[in-house]
Amino acid sequence: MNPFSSGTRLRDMIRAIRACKTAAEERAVVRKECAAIRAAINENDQDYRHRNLAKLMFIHMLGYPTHFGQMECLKLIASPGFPEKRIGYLGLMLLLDERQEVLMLVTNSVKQDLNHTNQYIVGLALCALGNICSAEMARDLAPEVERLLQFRDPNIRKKAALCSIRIIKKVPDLAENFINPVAALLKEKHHGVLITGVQLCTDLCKVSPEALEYFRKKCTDGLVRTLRDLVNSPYAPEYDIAGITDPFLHIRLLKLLRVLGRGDADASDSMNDILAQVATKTESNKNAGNAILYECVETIMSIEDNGGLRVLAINILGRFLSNRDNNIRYVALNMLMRAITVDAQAVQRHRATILECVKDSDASIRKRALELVYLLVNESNVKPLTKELVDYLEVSDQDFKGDLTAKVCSIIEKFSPEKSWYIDQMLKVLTEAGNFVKDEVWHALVVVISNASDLHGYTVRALFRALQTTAEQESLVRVAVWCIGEYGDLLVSNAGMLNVEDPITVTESDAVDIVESAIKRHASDLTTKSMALIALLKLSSRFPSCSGRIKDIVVQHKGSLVLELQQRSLEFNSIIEKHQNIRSALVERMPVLDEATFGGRRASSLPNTVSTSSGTAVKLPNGVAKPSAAPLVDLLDLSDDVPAPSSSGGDFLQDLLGVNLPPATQSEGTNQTPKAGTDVLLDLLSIGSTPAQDNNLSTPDILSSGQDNKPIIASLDLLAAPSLTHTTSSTASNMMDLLDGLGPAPPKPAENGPAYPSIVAFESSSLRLTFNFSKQPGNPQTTMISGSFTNLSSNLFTDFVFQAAVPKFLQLHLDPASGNSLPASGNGTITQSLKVTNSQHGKKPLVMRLRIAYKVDGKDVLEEGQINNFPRDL
Amino acid sequence: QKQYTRPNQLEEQVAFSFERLFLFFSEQNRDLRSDYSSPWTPVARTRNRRCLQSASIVNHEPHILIILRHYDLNGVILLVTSQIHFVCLISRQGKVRLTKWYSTYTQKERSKAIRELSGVILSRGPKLCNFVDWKGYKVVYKRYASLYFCMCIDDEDNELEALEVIHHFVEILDRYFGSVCELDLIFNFHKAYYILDELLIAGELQESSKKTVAKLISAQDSLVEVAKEEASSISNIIAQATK
Repeated sequence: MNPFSSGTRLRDMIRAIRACKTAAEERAVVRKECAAIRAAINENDQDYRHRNLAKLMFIHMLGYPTHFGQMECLKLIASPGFPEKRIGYLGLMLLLDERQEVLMLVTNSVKQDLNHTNQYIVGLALCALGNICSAEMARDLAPEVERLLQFRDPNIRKKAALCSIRIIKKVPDLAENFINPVAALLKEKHHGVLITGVQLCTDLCKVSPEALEYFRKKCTDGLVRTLRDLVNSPYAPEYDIAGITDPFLHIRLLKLLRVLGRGDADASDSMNDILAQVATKTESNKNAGNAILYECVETIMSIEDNGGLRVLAINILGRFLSNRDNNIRYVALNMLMRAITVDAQAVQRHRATILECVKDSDASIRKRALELVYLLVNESNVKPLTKELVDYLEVSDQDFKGDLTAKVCSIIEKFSPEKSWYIDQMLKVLTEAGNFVKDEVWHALVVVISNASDLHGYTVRALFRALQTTAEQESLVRVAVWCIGEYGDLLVSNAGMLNVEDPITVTESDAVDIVESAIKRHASDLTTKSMALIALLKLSSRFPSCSGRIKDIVVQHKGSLVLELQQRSLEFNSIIEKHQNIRSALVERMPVLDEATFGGRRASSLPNTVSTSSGTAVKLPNGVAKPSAAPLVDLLDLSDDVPAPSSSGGDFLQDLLGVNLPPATQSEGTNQTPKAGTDVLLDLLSIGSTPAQDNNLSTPDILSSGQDNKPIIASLDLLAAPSLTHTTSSTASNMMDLLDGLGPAPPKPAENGPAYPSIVAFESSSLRLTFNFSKQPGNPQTTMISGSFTNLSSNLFTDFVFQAAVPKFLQLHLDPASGNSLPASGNGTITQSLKVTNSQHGKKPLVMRLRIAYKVDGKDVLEEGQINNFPRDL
Repeated sequence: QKQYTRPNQLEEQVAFSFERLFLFFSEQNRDLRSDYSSPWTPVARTRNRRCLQSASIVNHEPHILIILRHYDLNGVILLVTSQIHFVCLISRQGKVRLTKWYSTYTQKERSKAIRELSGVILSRGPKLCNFVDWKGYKVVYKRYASLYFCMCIDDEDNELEALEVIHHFVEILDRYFGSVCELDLIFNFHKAYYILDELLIAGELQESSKKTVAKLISAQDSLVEVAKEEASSISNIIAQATK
């Protein structure tokens, strides 16, 4: 073998890489090295294998792909010498993780090494196993590891103990095998073994109730004794950290005692003394001591109640909180958060200090403190706390404002003692940080305003004033515009004056001015502009003198590129111009919005809001394809396309608020214009009106028959639906992938020709829909589907309409149906053909949502469903 | 119980039908993480059915849902894993000097995590606390000269102890290399890994005595030396013989 072909030494390679001035240079060096290593691998070079692997590890650390070196690790591990094995195992741990199938190949070598006579080789194998073993390996090698827990050398015993932790985490069923050997480890004197044994014991207790019971009975006293000896032990240089003997062991023992004492009065009782001793005797001027105190406090809080100890613990936390070290304050906040369930009163005492922490310069501390303040709020202290937080909102960092605003809004909503306070505070928040306020929050505010009839005048004047000073905050503008539209007359007439407010003089044209400025402002988004248009329409009737001017403003948007604005502009213009006689009735003040309906709607869409942080379900009831001849109906849209009466209240509100737009509001900055095609799809896919029912239907199914595929799919739909409504296609396709994997296995289609089996796409108690498939030769993406509907009930269906929606990667073309009435009891069918083009043909199967509406005895019936059982290859 | 809310029906279904889905990031992250990347997986997978009605969801940030803990019906935490998920050393310039992963992450997630963390940590001022909240975990870091030693632990873990573990590691390195510097760790990165392996396994501390670690490492180093000498002497013999 030519010594010059073996490439550079490791040290030289690292030097060469470090000498590179640019990323491109570095890539070139790495590429050259990788090429040399690949060549060496192909030649099966023995001599420099370990050096090559070391180089690969370095290259891996820099972030380059090194998968081709994985087999080299295996070869090195299989070789007999210690140096080769050492580097081989290191490579195994660095280059591989438990998912790689290569790992299975190494199981046998590891098994041999676990039985090796050289204890260092056993140690290497245990270490690798502990760091990367998979569930399969854990099962295969558990007996070896269990045996090694009794190995003569303590250094192997401690490694075996940690390895066992990984094993029981991977395969909890194996836990019981380890109970007995571990009990022996707890009696050891060697600190390494004791630490790992205690740790293993803790993890066993977590995965196995039997283990917990066993150790609680047998070992609690012994552990208490061990801890006592440790606390009272004389100076031991080997384990000493800042004057404390082995704080690591202290902490692990306290942790295990916590697990044992939780929920068991006897065990808790037996550890009270030692906990008191640790809590009082431990030095708190160094980090190590504080770490122990911290652990001790947590244990005291978790075990069964002992009043004296708890007082001690809370005092320690109080001391921590006033510490100057940020670390200590951070953990104090953390701990207080857990302590609040135990002793809220004691935590309340530190309220002032905690509030100071919200204003800290350290983001980590601020975040914790804010969470804690949120938990501290109750009816009695909500006013001062909110005041503090709102005041702080003015000066806080931009990146903290989002969190802070969300929490403040939530506090205000939850605890507000009276409406005027609620409105006041919300106005302050909107003025300071309106851009961070979520949609549902200001929707709720509008509902509250609408309900507080005695405060209408006050609110609209306050908003007017706020809007005059700042127009930067989007949601402030929206609420203000809405209120001015509704209560503009009160603004001008100064009606309903409260004695706390200063009188202002607003002329009619001032009011129009401010709405106009909102619509003209460049940064206003679609929702705001649409709301402003509605406000103007309303003002045109309230202030007849300004009617002409308003008309001019409205007309300006006649040519807007945004469809929604254009449509509104045209409609409103025609109202102002041609329908003077009905205008005043048309734009009357809105009826009081029903808080209960809105609240219920919010609750039912909660999963939606939680998972997406965006407010309301997206709906576009003013359908895009609506004939323009019916502008009046549109305006007061009574949701004629939302048939379920139970939900129409909420939709009604949405429509009236004019917030029924695509999610342009959620991402400031990005300009999203509504797309007609997708909106219709969104509309059908959205779960807006029916989530509650769906939930109820599928939940019992799921719980009772977990194996059944169908309900799971149903719940997947639920999950997918809210996301689909908001996402771009990339996520949508993620979701579809998930659907793929869990879908029921469809029948395999025949190899050639268009012979796809027909399926029952939808079946309810009254209706069955079957699909027959065919494909045009040479065009595999497109599927012709002919659907036929059969009436299973004994009543005639009239006005039968079938609608379908597909995800974005599909295109759907619906032909007209063969009729619109369906005779009873299967005495005839309606057929309708569909054409679906799958742009992801071969990658994703078809899915479709459908909605079927018809009348039985003059009553509307609506059925909805999703078809997931399409043959796979369509 | 902190911010933990009782799950509502849909969330339960999420937990159930997505038995394997633990971290569920919404579309804002455009990132769906399956259980493969979750440290709670193995136990959770088998227990999921049993604990279904008590799976709890923590909403750390508005757009991230993390199903974090399992409670039994009395609200007692059944399963809280606590371990070190990974250790990394990052230089002040953001270069990675050592990474060790104790929980399973894909290559992509690893580099993403390091990128995100170095952005957060390197930009923090010197007087701030040593803890950073990160995706429902906590990252404890400490700066020694030009290197940041970072350790990702669970939310429930003792941060102060993690700091102590970091210091313990640094002291051992210091003792081994004789006042260690960044260059030592660059050129002898494998030795740094060997030392770490004597200190931590499976994300748990293995040894609290610096002396024991030093002893074990030097014993293994001398084994390697002996093997090397043997090899060179044999090759010498062969070289002599074939002359």
